[in-house]
Amino acid sequence: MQAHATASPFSPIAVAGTIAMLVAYVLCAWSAAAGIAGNARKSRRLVISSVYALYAFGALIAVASALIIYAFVTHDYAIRYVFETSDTSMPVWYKVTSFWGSLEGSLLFWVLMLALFSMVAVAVNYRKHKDMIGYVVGTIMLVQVFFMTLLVFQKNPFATFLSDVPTDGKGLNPLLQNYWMVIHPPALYIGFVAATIPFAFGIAALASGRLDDLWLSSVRTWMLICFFFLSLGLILGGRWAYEELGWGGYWAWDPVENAGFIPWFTATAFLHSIIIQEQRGMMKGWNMVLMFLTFFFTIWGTFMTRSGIVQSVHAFGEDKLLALQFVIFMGLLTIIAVGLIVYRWQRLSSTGRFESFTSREFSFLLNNWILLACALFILFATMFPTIKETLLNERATVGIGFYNKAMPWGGLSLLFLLGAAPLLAWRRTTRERLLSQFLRPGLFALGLTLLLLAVVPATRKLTTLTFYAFDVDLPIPAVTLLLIFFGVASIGQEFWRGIAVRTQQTGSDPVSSLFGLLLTKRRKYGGYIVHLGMAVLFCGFVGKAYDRMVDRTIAAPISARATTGPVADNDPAWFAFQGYRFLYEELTQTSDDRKQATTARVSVWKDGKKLATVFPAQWQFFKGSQPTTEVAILPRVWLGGETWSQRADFSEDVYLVLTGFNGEQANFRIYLNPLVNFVWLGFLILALGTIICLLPEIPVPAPRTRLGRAAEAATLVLLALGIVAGLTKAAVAESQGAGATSTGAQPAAGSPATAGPQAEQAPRSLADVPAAVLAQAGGEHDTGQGMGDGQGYAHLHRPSDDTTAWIMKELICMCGGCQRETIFECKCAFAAEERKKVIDRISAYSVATPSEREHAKKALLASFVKEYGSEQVLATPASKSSWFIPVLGALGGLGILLVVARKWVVRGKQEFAQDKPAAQEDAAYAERLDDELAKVD
Amino acid sequence: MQKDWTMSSPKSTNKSGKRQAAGTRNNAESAPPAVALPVAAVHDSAAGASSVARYVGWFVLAVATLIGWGFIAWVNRYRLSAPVVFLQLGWLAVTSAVYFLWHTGWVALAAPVTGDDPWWQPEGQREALLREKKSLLKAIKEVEFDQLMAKQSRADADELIAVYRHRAIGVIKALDALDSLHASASPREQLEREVRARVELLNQSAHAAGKNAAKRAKAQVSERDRATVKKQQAEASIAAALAGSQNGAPGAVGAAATEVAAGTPDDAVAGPGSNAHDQATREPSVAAAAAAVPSAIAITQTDAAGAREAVATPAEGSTQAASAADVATAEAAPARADKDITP
Repeated sequence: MQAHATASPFSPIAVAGTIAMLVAYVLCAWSAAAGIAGNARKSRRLVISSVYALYAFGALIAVASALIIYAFVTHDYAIRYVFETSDTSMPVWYKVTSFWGSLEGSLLFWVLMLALFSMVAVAVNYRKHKDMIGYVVGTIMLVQVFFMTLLVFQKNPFATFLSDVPTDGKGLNPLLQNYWMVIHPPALYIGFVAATIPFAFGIAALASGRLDDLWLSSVRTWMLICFFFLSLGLILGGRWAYEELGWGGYWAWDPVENAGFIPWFTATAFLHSIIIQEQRGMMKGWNMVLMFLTFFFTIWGTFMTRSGIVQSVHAFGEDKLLALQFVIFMGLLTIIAVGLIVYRWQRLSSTGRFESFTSREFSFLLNNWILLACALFILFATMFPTIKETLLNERATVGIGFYNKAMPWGGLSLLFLLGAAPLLAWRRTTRERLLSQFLRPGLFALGLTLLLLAVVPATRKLTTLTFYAFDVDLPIPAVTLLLIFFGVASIGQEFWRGIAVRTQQTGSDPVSSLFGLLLTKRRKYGGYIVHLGMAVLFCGFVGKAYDRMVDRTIAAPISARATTGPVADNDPAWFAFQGYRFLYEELTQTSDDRKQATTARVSVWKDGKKLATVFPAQWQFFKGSQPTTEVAILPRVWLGGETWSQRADFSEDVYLVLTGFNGEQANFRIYLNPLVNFVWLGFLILALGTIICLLPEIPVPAPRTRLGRAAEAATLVLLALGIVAGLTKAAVAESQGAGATSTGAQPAAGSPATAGPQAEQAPRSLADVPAAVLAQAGGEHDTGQGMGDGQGYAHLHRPSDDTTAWIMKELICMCGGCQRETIFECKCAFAAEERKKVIDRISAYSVATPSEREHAKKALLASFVKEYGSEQVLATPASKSSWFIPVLGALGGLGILLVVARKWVVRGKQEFAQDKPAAQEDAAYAERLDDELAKVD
Repeated sequence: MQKDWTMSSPKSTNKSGKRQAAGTRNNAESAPPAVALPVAAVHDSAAGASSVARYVGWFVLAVATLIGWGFIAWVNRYRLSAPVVFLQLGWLAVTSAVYFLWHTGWVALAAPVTGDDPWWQPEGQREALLREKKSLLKAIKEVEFDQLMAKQSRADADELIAVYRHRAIGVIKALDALDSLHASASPREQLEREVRARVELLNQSAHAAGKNAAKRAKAQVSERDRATVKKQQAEASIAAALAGSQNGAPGAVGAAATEVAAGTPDDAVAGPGSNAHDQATREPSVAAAAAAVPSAIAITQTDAAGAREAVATPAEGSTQAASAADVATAEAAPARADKDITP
């Protein structure tokens, strides 16, 4: 309960902020009207006035934003929004991030980002596109008018209390008090906002009839920015979830995560199809559609997050009026965009043509279809519960499993194209060339995969995928690895051959040729680096098939016993999992003015060597309703190991969660996440590739003298040496630190010191640990189900066989607090009770044969559906109709694509044969052309 | 107070890479002769003044911002803290908002431009063709690169390259035709365009200067004289420059310059003054220009047809080609014949 003072609710900051927003509102309406009318009437003064108005609008929104942040940092609790999302004890950075911590502020933040981006976009493109800049400004400002209408009339962040002013605020949601949340939302918002600029240019091009390629270069850059920031926002969100939510994963197909992912797909599709337009003059209309879809999905994502129509950990709560306003806005957008596209369709028709299925054009077309199918599938699955509730008045849930079983089809197809498309030529690739291009990467990938299958049995693991509600077990990890190897090999071949050709052409050394390739063909080779990043990301995704989890309850830490000297091997403070041993050393409670922290000190051992001391913790914020888990993550990297055994732990995260405590007793959940670090590494590579694509054109004059070439080569070698030296130094430092210092979650204020002398007494090996200890700890298991003991919730009633575990993974925890977690994963008491029900009910069935197991699964799921009265309790919708639409859409789309492409190919071949230049080239002009070509790099 | 609200920088780069003062030559060259540009749009002689005005504006903005920052720092006893930083950022935004708001209103209240405003032509035919050529050259290189990397068979690559080359040669021819219109076809036409533009400029300048009838009448004589002298000087200098630049025909160009200077005394003399007078002077000027331009129009139209022919080749697939043809057709119109193709 907040203390309230009797102070006056007057706040000069609120008055000034509201005035700034009102003026900005009028201004953006003027800007939109003047821009559109000016462009339509060819009135220069109106257009220029609209441009200045856009700048002024940006400045006024900056004023409002600065004022609201000022109110946060000066604790102006007369303003409701400041009161709702901050308190005096928060550090300054979290007060700043409170700006976008709730609905009103996040809308203002959106408007600010769009205003700043549009200022830059208009300033950069004004001269080049004077004939349509009015429409660009008008479109952007119409979007701003919508958001400003919400801000001014409904969600004013400067609204004040009518009477008493509280003395302190409620505080920011504890989950958002994380450093990743300082940069994750801005990154995602920038990605969303950046999609508005291409949309505005697209609408302007359609409205003005200027449908040539001039505006495409501007649009491409902005879509790349959109792609980059969406990727950054998604990966930062993943990292935040990994560190903050404590469920051992980074992607849960949460509706709000999906909201950022859907436009990512369409933006990626656009970036590919625009290359076809630039290179072959095709797919103009389709590019317009993709541009519109990308923008539309960003608004859709905002709608899902803000209106509360879907349940999510990120959602801001239900608001039907807001939802209606968004629906009207999206309807208007669709009418305008579709109307303009239809109006200009004749001028958007392709002037190029397809001539073969084995061409790069067709691979891009296929890639577009898969990306769009993925986007639409995710959209459908995300909206399915809402659609079902609206139409049938019946709740449903779409859990992680639903996506994980369906999305790999699209992912694997894209992974194949990622490696195959670069090997294809424009127009057509003959059979011989196809063979020569695919042979080496194919053989390399096949050989390596077979080797892995022979040497590493784990790669033979089967994973369940779904096809039209039928589950099939397939060797997905092996197939994924095969495609990853193929992709990496094909990109490697592209670089290798490219360097060879360039070396031959320029006479320079291979290193210079590599840099030359990257600088002169940045888009192509930058794109290949992005592909490489995606392949590495898929390595991380493969790791999900091998992650393991276990729950342990340890009665007391070693610090609870007044013993000195080495810790006995059979001390109950030890617990083991998958070759690791963990020593529960101490549990301490500390507090500061924001929270009370309960921190466990645990040392992690392997092969008799201590790897690190980690500090999993739970923080109970004084102004938060539920505790947050502060997980301890110990990354195991190749360079950190000294023995081959340790090196075999290549890129595995040991992930410890303190799930509960009772006095000295502590409940731990341990995840081993193999290959997860490839996800972060893959993103870094992807970001590098995108930045290379975004680099402006730089002429790279080749050195003309031998001395010049030598100097260039020497510089490059020194640069490479410097990078290698830096990386080696960092690796060595990490290697040294890994064994001695703590990693993972940092202890809270006043946290326990590092492990004492007695903790350094290492047990010799896991083999030395008495069997009794292992048995007490629950033993080892590979199937992922926890087998804990003692008291608590997370470890209670764990499954003892695969069938029980499967059923638990198919049932959603209905406690109301958990967001779409299954009862297998959920740590709450309700989930433990549900698990008990499953164990009790399955005991009535025989599960000796596969058919009996299937029968038991169906019967148990049906019993839970009956108990809850709807399929809401199921993680995967059982109704086949739920699968019908996406499958029909995907396969129907593919069918249409193939039929249409077949027609195009036949017609293209005929037209190309007719259009062959018959006349001999004019010799003088041919010579001039050769001269000009010689100057092109 | 005249102000350049066209948002152009004080200096802009022309096609040949030479830098020139904004608002002077650009406006003069691109303005259609028969159109009376409003006061706010011309600012010819005020190019320098508008630059000064813009710099004054920025200076006032900077001073206001600094004063505000100083005041905020003083109130907070020069301690840098989060509130101070955000307050100062807010103040910067306030001054910027006032600056841009002022411009928004100022521009909106300016007199409208009537007629065919050249401002709406962001890119000329030449740029479109150059872009098309660059794109085709890159496409040829890309196919060659693919072929060298063994992605494409020699025969396929040759076929595709032949198409691109055919198209590229068409573009180069179109560019040549365009260039010949500027450079080789007629120094006289070039000169006439320049003269016409300058006369227009002087007319506009004078028009802007006088609103009072008495003052106009009084100023007419002196302005006339001044304008005549200025114009003759300008024409002579242009003629000399052109004569110098034309190898082998200096005499002809010089004669053309003299002829033009001598043949348009009324234009020069009647330039500034009343609106009626403006109109009177403009009409002969247009008539003269119209008489001088037919050959240019013919060439431009041929050129447009050539460009269209070039893009209507088998390689119709190129979007740039189509747009180039559109631009070519559009610019073949007499009213614009001398707009984007002025060197």
